[in-house]
Amino acid sequence: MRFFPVRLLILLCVFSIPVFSQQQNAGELHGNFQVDAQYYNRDSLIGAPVVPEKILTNGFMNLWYTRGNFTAGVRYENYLNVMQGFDPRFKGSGIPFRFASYNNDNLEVTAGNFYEQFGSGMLLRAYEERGLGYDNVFDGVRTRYNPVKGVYIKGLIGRQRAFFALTPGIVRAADLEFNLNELIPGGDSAKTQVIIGGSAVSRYQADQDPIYNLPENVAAFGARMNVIRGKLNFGGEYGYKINDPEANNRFIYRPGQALLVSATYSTKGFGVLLAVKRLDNFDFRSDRTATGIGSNINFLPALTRQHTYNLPATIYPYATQPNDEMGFQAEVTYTIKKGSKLGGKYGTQLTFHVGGVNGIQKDSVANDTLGYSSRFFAVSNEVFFRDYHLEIFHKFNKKLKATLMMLYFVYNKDVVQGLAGFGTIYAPMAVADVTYKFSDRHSLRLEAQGLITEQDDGSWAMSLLEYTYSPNWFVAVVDQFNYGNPAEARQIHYVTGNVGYMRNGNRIMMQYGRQRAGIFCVGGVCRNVPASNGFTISILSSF
Amino acid sequence: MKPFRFLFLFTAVIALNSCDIVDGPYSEGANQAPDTTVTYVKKILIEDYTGHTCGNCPLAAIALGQVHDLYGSQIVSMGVHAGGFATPAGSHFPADYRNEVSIALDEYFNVSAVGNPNGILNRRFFNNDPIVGHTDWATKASQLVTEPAEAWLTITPGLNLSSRQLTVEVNSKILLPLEEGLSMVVYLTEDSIFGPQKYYGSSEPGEIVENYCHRHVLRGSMNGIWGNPLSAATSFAAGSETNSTFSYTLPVAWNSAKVYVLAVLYRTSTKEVVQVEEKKIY
Repeated sequence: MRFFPVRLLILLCVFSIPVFSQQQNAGELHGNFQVDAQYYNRDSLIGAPVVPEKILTNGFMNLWYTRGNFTAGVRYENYLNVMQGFDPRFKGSGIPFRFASYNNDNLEVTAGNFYEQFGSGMLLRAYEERGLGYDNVFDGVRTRYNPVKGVYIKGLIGRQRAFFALTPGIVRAADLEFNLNELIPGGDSAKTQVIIGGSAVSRYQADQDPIYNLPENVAAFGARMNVIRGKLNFGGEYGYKINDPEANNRFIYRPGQALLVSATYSTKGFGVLLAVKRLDNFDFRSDRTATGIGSNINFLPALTRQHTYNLPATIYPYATQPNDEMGFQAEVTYTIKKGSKLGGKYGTQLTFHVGGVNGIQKDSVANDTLGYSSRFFAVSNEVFFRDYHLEIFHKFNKKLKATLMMLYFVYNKDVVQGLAGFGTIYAPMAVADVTYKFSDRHSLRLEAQGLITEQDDGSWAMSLLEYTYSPNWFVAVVDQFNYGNPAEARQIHYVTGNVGYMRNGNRIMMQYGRQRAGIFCVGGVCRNVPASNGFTISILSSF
Repeated sequence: MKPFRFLFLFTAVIALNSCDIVDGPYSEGANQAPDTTVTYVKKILIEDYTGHTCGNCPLAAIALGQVHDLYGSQIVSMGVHAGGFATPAGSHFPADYRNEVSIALDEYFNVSAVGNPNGILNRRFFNNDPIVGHTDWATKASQLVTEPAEAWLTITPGLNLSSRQLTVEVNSKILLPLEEGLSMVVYLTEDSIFGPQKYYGSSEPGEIVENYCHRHVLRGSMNGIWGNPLSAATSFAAGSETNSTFSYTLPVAWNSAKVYVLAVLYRTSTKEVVQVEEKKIY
């Protein structure tokens, strides 16, 4: 939709400079390309919506050119029309990403679009997640300066992407990090490593609201620290945001606070991870009226394990509640020694994980515009999410290896998905994943999963059979069966067949079959995908 | 029968009063629009895309009420029931306020695909996007109401109560010269339809308000989804007037005492609204 012919011309001139000249330091051109196209069949049984275009496609290409201290890049995106499940405001085509960057004497300057992260991302993180249709890239200028060893300074000013346009708010941010071991003479050899950092982020958005007296400049401050000594790693980050009445917190004037603390201990064959998180009114956007996915300045990670197996990952995935969350996570990994009875020839890896999220205790407050009050560390009894699981991985011999996982989820569907009437789901699950290698080139993988619940859509069973012909081919058949659905007509098999070919950075994948409606989440950010029946082809290339 | 009739009337009075807009805690003084019977003002059409199972939608209705309070008759609104949250759902939400027009508008502007509640003001694109979140309606309206009126519409309705035949005459007077084609569509809305509405955070059982007052529900159009060109002209001089007549038979299910005619004059090429007017049919 937005086409910048002049800028494109300039960039094309840059790329038409001969890059394969005989000189040294000739510069390199890299990039990647992906197009996904889906053909949609009608299927009223699974509730697949009718698609008038029949074929929907998402496509993009990235190009980066590096020569010495100079880097430039561009990305073209195309949605004709955008695939189901993505925000329909991704429409048409354009160049939403272009930048030029130069690194001169430890000062790196960037103009155009850039991604950035301060610390854990609690105050600021611009990133992209193609599969979610998430891209809050900055458009502005950024400097990164390393004046002396151990001191890292970042500064940026810009607006964020909103589809093929920019959000109304202007973000100004700075980050300062000290690596004390690099900074202090002799610190290199110290047993303890200490990194401390601080950030300040401010958003300006004009107040033209005739009803509310809105703060035009909203600032957030953060401080972080990381201490590493031997096998122990301890980190913490605290954030404070001044009053930020916005659509997501229903226009309350309460300041926001966030805390993230984690500690890990790892040694050969044994590791422990402990983490605690508190979020109180910490949704921070570059458009105070925006809702849903998009316009976020910060990123608040879900303190839960990112599952890769189908049923745990897609049926009840957790989404971060930026305004109201108290979470904890504990994970122990242990390897039973090889040679022992349970360890077998190669050892057995055990992972035990306990994680959960509750709301924060909110007390009513006399002044309505402040919303609520909440003492720090006050937790409410409302359970949002629980994830208990045990994973066992064992390699039997050169040909056979297997993973077994047992899980128990407690999932408050109303809170997590922003609905009402579904209540809390209790779901024990089991996953078995077995790979058998016939020879160097041929291997077969079988997965069987089950989810048992009496709530919501009932129980599910999933099976997958995948044949890999190394190094290029794979073929798979997947079936998800909602055998426990209370409505008999909706006890449906969702079967898909997949074929893929990869070679030299190119990949072609095809899929045919039925896909159930679902929520696709990455790192606590989710989008809804409607059910579909049809054929999908994806072509990827990196060069 | 008599006490029952009295009780019914009493309940009706209470229920009708429950349709009043709830005042919010304002911290700034509100502008009042000038008296529109004397001066020509630009009126704003606010379309509230909503549905009865959309639990966040009552908040948008409250926001819409606040905008009405601020700018009085300069705001003309309609509730467009379409998308997933407007479909009948189980025994609790049997009503179907969707129709050919609301579904077509929702699909054209892709509103429910983005999410509900959401709205459109004068079908104007802000930053390449016509969809405006309800927390932004007051701000966007405050910008639009100060724009000069480019046209003025006068609606003269006539209803035959027994045959339910509605005839409407719309006079379009151009106030500022316009160098493009114009079209007119005449929508019909029914105000104050009572029915269940999901409302997240409500203290009602199941978070469902049983006797919710649906305001200005878009029921249909007198001349198709997008209406017709005002005339064959592609430029209009200031002062030029056009008279158009429309007729429609009101379905029996509609409460004719609550039906409004909404005449929308818009730019044919961009669909942006030039002027809007609303009139109760009797």
